[in-house]
Amino acid sequence: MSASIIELRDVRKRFKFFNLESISLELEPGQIMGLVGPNGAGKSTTIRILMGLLHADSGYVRVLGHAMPEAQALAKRDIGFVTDEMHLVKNATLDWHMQFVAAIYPTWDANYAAELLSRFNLKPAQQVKGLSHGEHVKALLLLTLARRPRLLVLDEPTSGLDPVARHEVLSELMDVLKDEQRAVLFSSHNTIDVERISDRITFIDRGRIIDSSDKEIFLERWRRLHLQLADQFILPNLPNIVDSAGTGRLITVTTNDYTPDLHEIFRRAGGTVHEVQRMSLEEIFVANVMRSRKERAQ
Amino acid sequence: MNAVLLRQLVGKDLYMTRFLLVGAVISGLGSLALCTRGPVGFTFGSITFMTTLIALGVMSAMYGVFEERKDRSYLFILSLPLSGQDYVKAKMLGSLLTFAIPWAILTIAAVAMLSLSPGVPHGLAPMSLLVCFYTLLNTCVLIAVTLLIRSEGVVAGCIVLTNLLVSFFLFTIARIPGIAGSQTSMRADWNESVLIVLIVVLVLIGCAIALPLRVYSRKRDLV
Amino acid sequence: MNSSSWLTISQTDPRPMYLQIKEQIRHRVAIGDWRPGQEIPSIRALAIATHVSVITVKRAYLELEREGVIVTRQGKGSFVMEGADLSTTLQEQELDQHLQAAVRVGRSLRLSDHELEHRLRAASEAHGTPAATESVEAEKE
Repeated sequence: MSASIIELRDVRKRFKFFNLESISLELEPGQIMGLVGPNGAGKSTTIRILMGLLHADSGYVRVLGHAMPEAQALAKRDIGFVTDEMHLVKNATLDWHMQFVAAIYPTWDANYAAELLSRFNLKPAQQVKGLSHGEHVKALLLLTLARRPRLLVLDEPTSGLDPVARHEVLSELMDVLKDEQRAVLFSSHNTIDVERISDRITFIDRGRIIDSSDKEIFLERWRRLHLQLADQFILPNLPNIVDSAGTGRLITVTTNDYTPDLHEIFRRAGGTVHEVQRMSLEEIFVANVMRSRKERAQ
Repeated sequence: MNAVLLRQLVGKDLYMTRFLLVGAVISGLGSLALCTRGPVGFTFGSITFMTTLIALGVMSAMYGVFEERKDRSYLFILSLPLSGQDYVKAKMLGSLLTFAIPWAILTIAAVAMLSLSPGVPHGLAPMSLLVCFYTLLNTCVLIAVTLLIRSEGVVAGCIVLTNLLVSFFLFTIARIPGIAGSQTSMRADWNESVLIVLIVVLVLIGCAIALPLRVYSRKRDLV
Repeated sequence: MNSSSWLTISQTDPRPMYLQIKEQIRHRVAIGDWRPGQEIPSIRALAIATHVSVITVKRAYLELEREGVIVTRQGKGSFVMEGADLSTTLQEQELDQHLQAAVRVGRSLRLSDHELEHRLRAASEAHGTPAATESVEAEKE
């Protein structure tokens, strides 16, 4: 049995209008992974495959050491799954749901549930259909977190939440990691949340994983360089230059593998590096998607 | 699937449909009471009784699977520690019990009323039993269809079709000699023909239950 | 110690998060808030308290270790490095960082070294205490 919490290798799935192509990803205990992609990129499909709700056409899917979807009944005992598309039973109260979940999972922690109730300001007697969107998401999270699952899989958990609710949700996610054996996978198109709390980041676009790495590596290696050019400057053909843009004698170059050597390389080619800028995860994400689309078009 | 989870899921379906259950029993028993009030009462009472059973069947099938899919709480149910086949088992049992609990009460009451009440043709008792079992078959078919087919149109078509088949079923059994003869008599005739029709209906019920379980035993997308 | 008030990370700060963490820890050590030998929060605890990923805090701690500000003992936790006058050297390092930043801006404004010196003196005079002014003069001589 491998120690990885999630292991996907070369997973493929065909649909009529969309294909998931060769998805591989791995999540280790104690980590938070952010799965980032535009709408329709394949985030939810990937998540549903690893939850056992969809079966892959081919490839290897293992979650908490269980083969999916075959052993999903066993695996799901230790997985907490929340998506923004999931709804609770609308004609029942939150209290009914809490008893329902508590009866199913022996790991239910009633004290933690009570704590979350007050922290999220939820009323147990309230019917689900009367909850606002934010309250509904928090109710789903409460029901999931209070079981203390080893793996949390969250599909767009913060979408549509107001800033306060988002803060509360992210705090609880971080709290999960007090226990180093647990892990979180969450998908989002909100790169600010991902940038802050993720250890690993996987970018996905049009059914493919386009990049996956430690967050700090992304933030360290991706830079924007502002160059001032001499008259006869030819941009050296470097593999780590992702994009170049600009007119006249000022151009901006984006690199995904910045080293101080670049200054010397550009100087020899006849340019001066005027400024080096770090990039936000959002900028890295967009540049990465654009690069991948350009490569695929070729 | 462990027994606790199955009990929770079936309990959930029964809890959610509790008003439907009570309402159906009241409506059915009221209809039967009406049946004992002379020929006009009998006609109206039997129509509302049949309507109650048919409506209950449609609503049990719709609530259990269809509604859950529509209001997206099925994703919550599917996140619980169960496989696709477990889900089908739980849904089958939950929806079936939603129907079968009031149905059993009403079927026993209907047969008893027709056999014992003075002033009603007792010969109708065997036929009413068969019709009641037929509504059970209808419900099982509808539950199977909602589990197997996601298209709303197909499900709606099936509801219409199964309801039309009630008249067809009545018409058909009324022409079976062993059953036809006793309709107007004051004595119930529980003969072989009744038994054979009952067995055929029960076999079909078994098929309707087995089919989704078999389909979901293979790898299948659940969403 | 209230764990949520160890440090704060700003999203408008252009510096990356690990640098913000590093500099705030450095600052706490420099002013003596966290004393030499004192145990500091574990990587995971600090990550949870500040809502920043473990990997980011780990990076800050690794660099602080390399710079001799803190020391991590396997299985025991992280501590402020024992050493004489650490706070002074840290403050000096901090000063150097600010000066380097000033020089960078100066270069981009195409100021000469002379002009930079002039501006530093002007800033110092504007700040006011005679002692400070004298020491700048003294350094110059």
